[in-house]
Amino acid sequence: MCGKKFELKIDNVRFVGHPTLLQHALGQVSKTDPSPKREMPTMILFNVVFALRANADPSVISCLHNLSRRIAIVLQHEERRCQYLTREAKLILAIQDEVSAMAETTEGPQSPFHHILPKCKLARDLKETYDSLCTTGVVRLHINNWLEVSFCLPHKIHYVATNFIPPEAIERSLKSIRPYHALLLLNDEKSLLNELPLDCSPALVRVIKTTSAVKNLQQLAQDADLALLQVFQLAAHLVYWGKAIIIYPLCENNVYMLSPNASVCLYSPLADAFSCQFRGHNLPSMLAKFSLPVSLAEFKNPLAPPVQETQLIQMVIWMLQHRLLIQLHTYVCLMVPPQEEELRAQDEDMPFTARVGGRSLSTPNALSFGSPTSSDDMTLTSPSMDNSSAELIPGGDSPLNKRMTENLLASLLEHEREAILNVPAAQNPEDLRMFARLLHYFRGRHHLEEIMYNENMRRSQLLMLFDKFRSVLVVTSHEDPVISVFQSLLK
Amino acid sequence: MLAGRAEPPLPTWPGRGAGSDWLRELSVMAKARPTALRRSEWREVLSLNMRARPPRSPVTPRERRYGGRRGWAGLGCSRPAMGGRIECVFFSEFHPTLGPKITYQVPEDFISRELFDTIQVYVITKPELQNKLITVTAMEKKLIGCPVCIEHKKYSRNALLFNLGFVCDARAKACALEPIVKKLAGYLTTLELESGFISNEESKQKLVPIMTILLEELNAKGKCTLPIDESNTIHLKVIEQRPDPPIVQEYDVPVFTQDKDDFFNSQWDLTTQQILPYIDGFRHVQKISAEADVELNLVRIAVQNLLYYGVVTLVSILQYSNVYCTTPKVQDLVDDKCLQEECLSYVTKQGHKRASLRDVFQLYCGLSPGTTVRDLISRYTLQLQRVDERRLIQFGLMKGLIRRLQKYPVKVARDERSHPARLYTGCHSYDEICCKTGMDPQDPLLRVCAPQGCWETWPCLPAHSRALALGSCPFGSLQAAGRRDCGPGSSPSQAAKPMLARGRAWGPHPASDTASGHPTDTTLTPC
Repeated sequence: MCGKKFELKIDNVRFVGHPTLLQHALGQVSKTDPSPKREMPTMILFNVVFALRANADPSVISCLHNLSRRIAIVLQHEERRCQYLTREAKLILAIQDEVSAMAETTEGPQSPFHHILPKCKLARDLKETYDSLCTTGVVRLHINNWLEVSFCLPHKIHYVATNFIPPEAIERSLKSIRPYHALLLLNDEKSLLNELPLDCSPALVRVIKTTSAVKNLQQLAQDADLALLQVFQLAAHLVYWGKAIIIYPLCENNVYMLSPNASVCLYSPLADAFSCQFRGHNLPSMLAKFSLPVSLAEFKNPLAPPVQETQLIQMVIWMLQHRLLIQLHTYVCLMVPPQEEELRAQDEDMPFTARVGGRSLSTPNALSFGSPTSSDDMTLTSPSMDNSSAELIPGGDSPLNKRMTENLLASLLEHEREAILNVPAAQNPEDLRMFARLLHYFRGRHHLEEIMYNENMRRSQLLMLFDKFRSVLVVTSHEDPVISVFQSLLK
Repeated sequence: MLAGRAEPPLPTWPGRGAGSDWLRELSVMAKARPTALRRSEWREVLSLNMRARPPRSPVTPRERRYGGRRGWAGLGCSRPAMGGRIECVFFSEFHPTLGPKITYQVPEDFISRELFDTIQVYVITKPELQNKLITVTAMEKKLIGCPVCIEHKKYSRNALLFNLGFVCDARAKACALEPIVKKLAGYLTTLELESGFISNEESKQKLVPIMTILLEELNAKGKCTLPIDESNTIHLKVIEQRPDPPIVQEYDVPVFTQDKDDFFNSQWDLTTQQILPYIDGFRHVQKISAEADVELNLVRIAVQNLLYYGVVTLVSILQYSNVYCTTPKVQDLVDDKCLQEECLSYVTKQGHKRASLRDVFQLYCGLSPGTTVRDLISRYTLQLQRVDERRLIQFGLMKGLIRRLQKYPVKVARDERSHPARLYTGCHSYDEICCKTGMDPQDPLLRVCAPQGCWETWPCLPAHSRALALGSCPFGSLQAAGRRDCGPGSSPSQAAKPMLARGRAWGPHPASDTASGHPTDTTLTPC
């Protein structure tokens, strides 16, 4: 069973570990090895085992198995290098013998652990592992003061109110982030930089120093002079360790509302922290302003001193960091009025997505958005490239444009096309062309800002278009499912 | 016995026969001379039986508790446990000369020599691990067993060690099989003590057909009946482990997830039978308690039990002043054909032509923070011609397409004269406050905020007209439209008397009992 996951359940206790074989090349003493005469190793196999409650979540079990493996790898390495494990084991056994001998002389059995702990570093490391896992969920050990083991238990780190966010949800979300998202640090920059080890990557430090709530990831890549892909990876790393979350960059037009999981309790520790940080304001009153969706522009008051606006932005950032707010986006869906024979036709309908979603827009991952500075094997398959405005010659009723529009509309059903062409605004070829070009976004999965980013259009243009074609479009607003996982709004 | 009766369609509810099986088992145990089993074992075997069988009705609050344990396993469905497919059943024992070996396994040669060598120390164990349920995972397989040791001088080596266990895939969830393994260990122990079933070579052969039946029937049906000999039969059932249900509050509304007619009312406990007719997806728990004349906590427990089995789900009280908003899931309505079908058939008004998807989708998207249901009705009258808006909202809540915005009053200023501020901390919603106190805050609240809801001050309303607003009857103008909300039963003046007797139930405050039962528009919450 060596080298594989070890899992054993006895009644209510589950043991998980990773048994590791210590293989020694016997009799080989390196000439350059300055250590004193090596003794013959006595240990063949060891296993760092965690005991949990039997009904633990399977993802917790696999995380702890991972930790057991990491510790085992480090210990194996140290054992090979300087027989660290054997030495420590001898020490522990000697102390245990001592203690049991003592127990016979003094009355009552004594726990050997109190005696072992001050003398044996490995025992202290293991104790520290246990303590950290139970409290913060972040483990950082220095085995033999030489090699580092770092680990975080996502279940302890990522939680909102009393719900924990499963790691799979976080990973799924991280795969779907786009360049227009922003990285929001959960603590201030200084304390985060202090936490980093000395040999951390300088790129990470640069990202932490240059990030801001109003800058999106693409701008961040440019400012920090890094490839976009690298910025994505560093952002994902920070998110995984619970040091940052992904939001949409702050701007005036953002609409925020209270998160369903936000606690508005008057006496919560959050309310106290808020009052400490922002004197003279209390959290429930501030939260009351966000009971209904409100855009930041509504708080703008030109007659007020500018410091008020900065303070408001800081309060909004504070609330986002503490997962109290969610951002609502506008989503659009094409839904034409049904014709009379709709019932019959419904059986032959393919779902709208299958008909129109020719380009795979569903899950563009980080790799599909290249950065101008990188020259790696990343393909620039941004969806806007397929039919960007460069192709459609602006102005004029040229046959090329007309054909393009017809092609785009051809993927629709007959009655849908008729309904669209019947809209009065469709008489205007510009509008119709824009509509046809954006047709593949009208499935309710792409919000306004995403369309703006992909197609490089202004908000006013899009809103006007939606208004002109409102008889065939249905507009709704809700949170972005990709980043709402950070507010523990799952599924 | 259950065998003779035709099984009702899924979901099935325990038959009356279940009770008699329990008695039958007890008689199996009783046949074993009580002195043969040690007292602790006897109690353990009995308690295993108690847990695996439904308690006798009526249910007392003492027997059930909030937030389940494995004690919920009383009324299981007959579906096989999810994901716990048994791949092999093995019987292993400690041979006096050969040591630990697998005596029988069904199907043959499933457990390789290598696998057994790896885990044999967990199958035939040292004394410290005996009589414990042990699950060991190795080589992509999971073995569940309970090693048993019976000590007696008549055995060579003075003890008989054996273990009957199951093998599943390492990734399968096998928690539901554990009670069965434990139970089988108990049964085999009894049989051995009673008639030397295992130490006798002849009767040991009978284990093979028993194991075969076990494997086939548990996989196929999730339960099996094992005839051991003329007088002994063992009944086993795989009880699906479900997550603990949430606590049911007085202001929650249970709604059936499946067709009500599928249930066999008579197979539930008396409390549930009494409240079942009142569950219509619009009555909240407190109202059900008042109308069915059942104590509130009992109703809560019964609904929680129904929730555990997935019979009902909880939504919030429907009022025309409610505010809802859409969730990202509403977009699934566009793509998912099954959901569309389900939705359209659920929300279409009785006797009308089927509603169109566009209308329903527009209605859902029309629900946004700042829009009450009343506003929706006035704006989308065309779309609502074929759609029942109450069922629309119910469906949306059940499927998570929309969510309710709750209002939470928070009192920020210190004012000692006012009503007790303990409920105005922001932890209790309006629904909860109104349900719990039935009172009418005389002083206007200073500030109201809501994590999910509207900000509005709650004006001073005569209590029972608000009770009307919060109950099932909306307001005068809609009565003309022929909605059947306002029936005589919902008028508070009629229901007031029995409710008052309950003290804390829904109803007007004793102090402010106004006689008029007719709501006027001004008493409704402005929005």
